[in-house]
Amino acid sequence: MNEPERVRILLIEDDDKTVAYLRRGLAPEGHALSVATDGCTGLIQAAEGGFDLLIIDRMLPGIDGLALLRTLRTGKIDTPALFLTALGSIDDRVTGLRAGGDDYLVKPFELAELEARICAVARRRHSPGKSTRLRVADLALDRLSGEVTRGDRVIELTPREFHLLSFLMLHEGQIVPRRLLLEKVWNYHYETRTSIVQTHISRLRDKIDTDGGRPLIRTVKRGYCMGLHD
Amino acid sequence: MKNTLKSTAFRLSLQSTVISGASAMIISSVIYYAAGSAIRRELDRTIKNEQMEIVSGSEGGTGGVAQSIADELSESNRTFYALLSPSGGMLAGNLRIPPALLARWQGYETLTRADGLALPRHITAIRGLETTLEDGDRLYVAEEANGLLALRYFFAHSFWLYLTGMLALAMAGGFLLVRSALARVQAIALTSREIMAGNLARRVAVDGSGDEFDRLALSLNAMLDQIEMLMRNIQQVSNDISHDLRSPLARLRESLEISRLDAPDDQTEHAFDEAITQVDHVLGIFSAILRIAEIESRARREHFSEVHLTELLRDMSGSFKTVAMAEGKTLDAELEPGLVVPGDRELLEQMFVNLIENAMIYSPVGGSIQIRARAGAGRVEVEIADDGPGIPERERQRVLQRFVRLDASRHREGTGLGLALVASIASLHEATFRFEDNAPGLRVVLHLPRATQLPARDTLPDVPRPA
Ligand SMILES: Nc1ncnc2c1ncn2[C@@H]1O[C@H](COP(=O)(O)OP(=O)(O)O)[C@@H](O)[C@H]1O
Ligand SMILES: [Mg+2]
Repeated sequence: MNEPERVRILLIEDDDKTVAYLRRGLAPEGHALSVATDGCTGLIQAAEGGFDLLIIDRMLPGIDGLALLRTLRTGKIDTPALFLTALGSIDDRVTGLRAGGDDYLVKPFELAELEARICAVARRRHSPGKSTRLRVADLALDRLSGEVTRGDRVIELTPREFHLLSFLMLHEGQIVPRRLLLEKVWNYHYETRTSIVQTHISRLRDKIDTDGGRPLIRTVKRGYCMGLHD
Repeated sequence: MKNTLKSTAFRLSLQSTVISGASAMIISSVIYYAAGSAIRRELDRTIKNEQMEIVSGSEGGTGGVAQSIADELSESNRTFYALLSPSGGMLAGNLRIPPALLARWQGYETLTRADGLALPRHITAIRGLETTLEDGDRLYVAEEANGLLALRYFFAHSFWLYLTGMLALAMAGGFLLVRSALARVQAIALTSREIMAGNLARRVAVDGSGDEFDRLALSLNAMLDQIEMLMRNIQQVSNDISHDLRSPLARLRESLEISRLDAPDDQTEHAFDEAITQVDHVLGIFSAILRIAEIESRARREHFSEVHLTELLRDMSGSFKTVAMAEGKTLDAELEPGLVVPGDRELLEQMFVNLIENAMIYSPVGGSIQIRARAGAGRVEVEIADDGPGIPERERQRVLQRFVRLDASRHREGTGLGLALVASIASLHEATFRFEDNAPGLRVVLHLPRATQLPARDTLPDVPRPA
C-alpha cells in the first residue's frame, strides 16, 4: 500500500464556507493547504510557485478563475489545476478544461472524490515517466501490451474492464467513488440508475479475485478501494 | 375522430344535395310549364290565324272552304287540315282523324301518332283546333308541334338523367368542399391535442384568408400564446428554484459530510450517509432540470461535431450487456457500421443511456432488449426495444413531460425527468422520435439527421479519459 502523499495545495476560493469545508475535509489526509480568497492574490501566489496543485473556483472576485488559469498557462506555469464550478453545465466544464484545467469538480462534491483527484495529481508528480506497468500485490497490468496477470495466471479482460482495472490500480489504496468511475471510465457525467459500475466491478472480481488469492477490490461507501486489505 | 368527421362531411353534403336537388326540381317545373305554355300560346295563335284565313278568305259554304284548304295545302307541309261533314264524312284536307279521336276532340288539342294519326315522318306531334262552321261542317286546323313533344320528352326522360348526374356532382363537390372545411376543423383538433400532450410551441395553422376558420385559429393562437407564456413562467420558476436551491443544498451536503467525519459510531455515520443520499437525490433532480434548461437554450448547437454513432452505441451496448447479464436479461445490438451524425456526443450519449436504462428498468427478469441502428434516406434510424409493459398509446406524449411517471412505475425510484431530457436532446438534434408498440413492450424509434458535410470548426477536445 502506498504511503499517503503530502500534497501542497493552493486553494483560490472566495467563499469562506467552502474554504472551511475543504480545510476540515482534507485535514485527515495531511495535505498542506494554502488559501487565497481573491483572484489577484491567487494569481500572485500561484505564480510564485511551490505548489503541487491549484484548486480554483470558477467565480472569483477580481480575476475570474478562467482568466487566472489562462494567465498562468501563458506564463508557462503548469502546476496542475483543478476547477471548482458551482454550475454543472457542459459549457462550464468544457471551457474550464480548454483554459488549461486538468480536472474539474462540480459543487457539491464528495471529499473522497476530491481526494482521489488530488492523489492522481500527486502520483503524476512522483512518477512523471507515466509508468506503463502497474502492480498491486501479485496483480500486474501492462498499459502498453494490455496484459493482465495475477501470479502466473493470465487474465483476459474486455477493453472496458481493462480501463476500469487500470483506473483502480492507479488509485491503489484510495477510495474511488462510483461517480468518479462513471465519469472517468465511462465518460458519463451524470448519475445512472442502473448498476453499471457495480456489475462491471463484480465481473472484474470474478476474473481477478479468484483462485483463493486474497481479494483486491473492496466495496466501500459509494465506491471501491483497490489493494490488499487486512 | 376521422370517421365521425367523414360521416359529418357525408351528412352535410347529403343535406346540401337534397336541398339543391329539390330546388332544381322546382325551378325546372316552372321552366317546363312556362316554356310549354309559351310554345302553346304561339302555336295557338298561328292556328287561329290559319283557321280565320280559311274561313274568312273563302266564299263560304263547303265548297269555298274546301277550296281555301286546297290552296293552303299547296303552300305548306307543316299545316294540316280536315273538313268534315256533320255526319263525319271527310270533305277536304290532309288529316285523317280516327273516329275515337273525333269523338273527343274539342277546341285545342296536342296530338301524336299515339292518338291514331298518320303523320309524315318529320313530324312527331301536332296541335290543332276544332271549330264548327255555320253550316254545321267541322273544320280542323293543325300545326306541327314537334317542340312541345320534345319539351315533354326531355322532361319525361333525359331530364332525370341530367338531374341525377347533377345531383351526383353536387354530392361529390359538396363532399369535397365540406371535407376541406372539416379538414381545418380536424387540423385544429389535432393541433390542440398535440398541445395538450405537451408540445406547447405548436400553433393552429392560419392561411390568411380571414375567413371564420382563420379568425377562430387566430383567437386560439392568441390564447395558446397566453398559456405558453404562463407555462414558461412556471418553468422559469422551477429553473430558478433549482438554481437558487443548489447552493444551500450544496452547503447542507458539505455540513453533512464534515459531520460524518466526526461521527462517534457506525450507526451515526450510517445516518449521515442516508441523509447525504437524500440530498444527492434532490440535487440530481435539480441538475436534470438545469440540464434540460441548458439544452433548451440550444446553445449547445454551437459545439456540434461529427459523432460516430455506431461506435458510441457499440460501446454503450457493451457496457449495458454486462448489466443485463447480471440482471438475468439479454441485450442485443445490431449496428450498421460507420454511422455518423452531427451532434453533441455527450448529450447523445446521455439520451441513449436514458432510453436503454428505461428499457432495462421496465423490462422483466428474463426480458430482452434490442438496440438497432441503420442508415435511411438522409437520416439514421435508431431503435431501442424492450419486452416490458410498454407505454399505452394515450400516455405516449404525456410521459415526455417533466416529472410524469406512469402509475405502474411509481413504486420504483425515479424522477420522471429521463424522457423529458430525451425529448429535449432529440429536439436539439432535430431528431424525431416516437414510441411504438413492440408487442409486448416499448420500442423507441429515433430518426437523426445524418452527417453531411459539416461546416469546418475547431472541434472540441474530447474530455480526457485516463490512458
Ligand atoms: N421502456 C419503458 N417501458 C415501459 N414504461 C416506460 C418505459 N420507459 C419509460 N416508461 C414510463 O415512462 C415514465 C417516464 O419515464 P422517465 O421520464 O424515464 O422517468 P423515470 O424512469 O424516472 O420514471 C416512467 O415512469 C415509466 O412509467
Ligand atoms: Mg427513466
